[in-house]
Amino acid sequence: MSEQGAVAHLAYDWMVVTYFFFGGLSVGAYMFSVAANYWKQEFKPLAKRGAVLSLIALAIGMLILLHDLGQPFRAWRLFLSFNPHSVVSWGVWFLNAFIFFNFIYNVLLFTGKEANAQKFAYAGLPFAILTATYTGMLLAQAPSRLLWHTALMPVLFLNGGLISGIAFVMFFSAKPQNSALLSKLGKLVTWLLVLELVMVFGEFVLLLNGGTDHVAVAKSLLSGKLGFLFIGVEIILGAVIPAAILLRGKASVFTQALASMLILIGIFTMRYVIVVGGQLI
Amino acid sequence: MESFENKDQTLLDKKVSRRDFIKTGAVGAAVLASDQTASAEAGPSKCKRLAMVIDLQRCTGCGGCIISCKSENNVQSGIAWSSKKIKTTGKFPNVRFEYLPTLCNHCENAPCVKGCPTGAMHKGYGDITMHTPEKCIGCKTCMAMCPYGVISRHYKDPHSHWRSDDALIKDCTSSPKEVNEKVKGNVIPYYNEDREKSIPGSGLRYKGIVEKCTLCDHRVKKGLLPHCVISCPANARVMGDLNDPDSAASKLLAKYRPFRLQEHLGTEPKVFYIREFNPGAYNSTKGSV
Repeated sequence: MSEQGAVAHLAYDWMVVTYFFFGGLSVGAYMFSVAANYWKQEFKPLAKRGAVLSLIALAIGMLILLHDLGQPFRAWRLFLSFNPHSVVSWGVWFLNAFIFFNFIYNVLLFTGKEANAQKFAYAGLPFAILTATYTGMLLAQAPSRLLWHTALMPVLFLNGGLISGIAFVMFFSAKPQNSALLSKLGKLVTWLLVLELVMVFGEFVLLLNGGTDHVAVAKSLLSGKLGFLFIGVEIILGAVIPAAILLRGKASVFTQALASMLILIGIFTMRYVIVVGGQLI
Repeated sequence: MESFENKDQTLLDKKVSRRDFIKTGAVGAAVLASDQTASAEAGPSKCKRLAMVIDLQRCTGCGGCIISCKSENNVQSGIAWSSKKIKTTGKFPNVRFEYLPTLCNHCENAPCVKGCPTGAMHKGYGDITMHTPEKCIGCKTCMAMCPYGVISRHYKDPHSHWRSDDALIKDCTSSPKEVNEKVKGNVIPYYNEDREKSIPGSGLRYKGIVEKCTLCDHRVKKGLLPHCVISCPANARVMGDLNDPDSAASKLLAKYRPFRLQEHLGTEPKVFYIREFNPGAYNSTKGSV
């Protein structure tokens, strides 16, 4: 039944989309930094940059999240009351633990206390993963939003966070001396993009074979303005084209920067399509 | 949660006397009175589960519930606690028009209560889904969780119209601000004190927080029926306690086969719809002069 009379406001609008984007991006950059520092030593030159970018992205995301609250000065209430059924209630603690460990990790890294930095980096990893996944679980908690109400959301969001985090680091370290490292990173990002496309494909298999409501959601994603964003921007501009650029092997500094920027646009669009598209039906 | 309900229960037992019900004079009030005696005997362990039954055969789609809700709860324009869904199918002359009055379903298994991180959205007296404005941080999670779209958020400062100095005709008619000052209104002339007394902060809501139907908790706690129920000219709305098999609502639910919105989600909504508008149920006549 069409609804008339009631004003339908989007519960989660572009501000939440931006927070999801920067939150996930921060987690991706953090995990890249930790991996580069302690597991893949060849990427070590980019580790510090990743840590700083992660903290900056987190700060931007937090500011937007606070701005999105109707009563930001009441945010302290989140710490005094805990609702075990609420994903947001859990997420607040995950997010704050991640901010804490991320900040300490950055401080220790830049003051040269490597041994302690490693301890804090590892302690922060679970909270980084939880921060990236709780946003997806939060969407999955809504029983009536068919696009959100799948177990795929947390995984898709973590993967999107990793992709955008690495692309963010790539974009800000596109220099001739980093070119060889970036082409290696580009291959990693390409495989993560393939994983994302597989998950999106899986989502569509689920939707198109579901009930009438499921099919309606799938059709709304494939047509109109949202269809343009989904197919044109998210899939083609944000995944297929950058993957083709990065897989070509010999890419210049400019094309590497361009590809990483396109990936960032693609991941932002992915979050927009899911968050806004999920609320349309 | 339980203690809150118990507190309200004792409050109700003390305050509400039989005389209050007789005063209201409505048939529904007598129904409610029997509800209250039933639950008082059953004790606090058996709390009330207030539900609304909407008879679609009686509903004429006049929108009286929507308007009365607005005036009772001073709901800002652009937001409707009590609303409707309409649907037109077919092609003239074979058309069908459906009208479904909607309000918060006060789900027993409410997704908004589950999603709220601060406990602002909670279960109150009579299993009504309540919202405490003072605890609300405006995160809009309840809006995202609600399958029925009945929770709204103030994106602007509500009732700003009554603070404006713009008269319709300058130096001739009163400005909204002057009207408000004349009637010594609290920001708005039609301010409802009972609303504020029931939940602090809910009298006049403000920018940034969400709001929704409270099933007129300020009236229900005093033993009065919600304003949409008493102002329905077709008596299409009946409120009662589901835990009391003798309540008018329970009887209607036993008599007809009710349906609820999006039942398959398992939210257990407590707004039931019975029958559907069927013009064939009326005798066809040629009218009279």
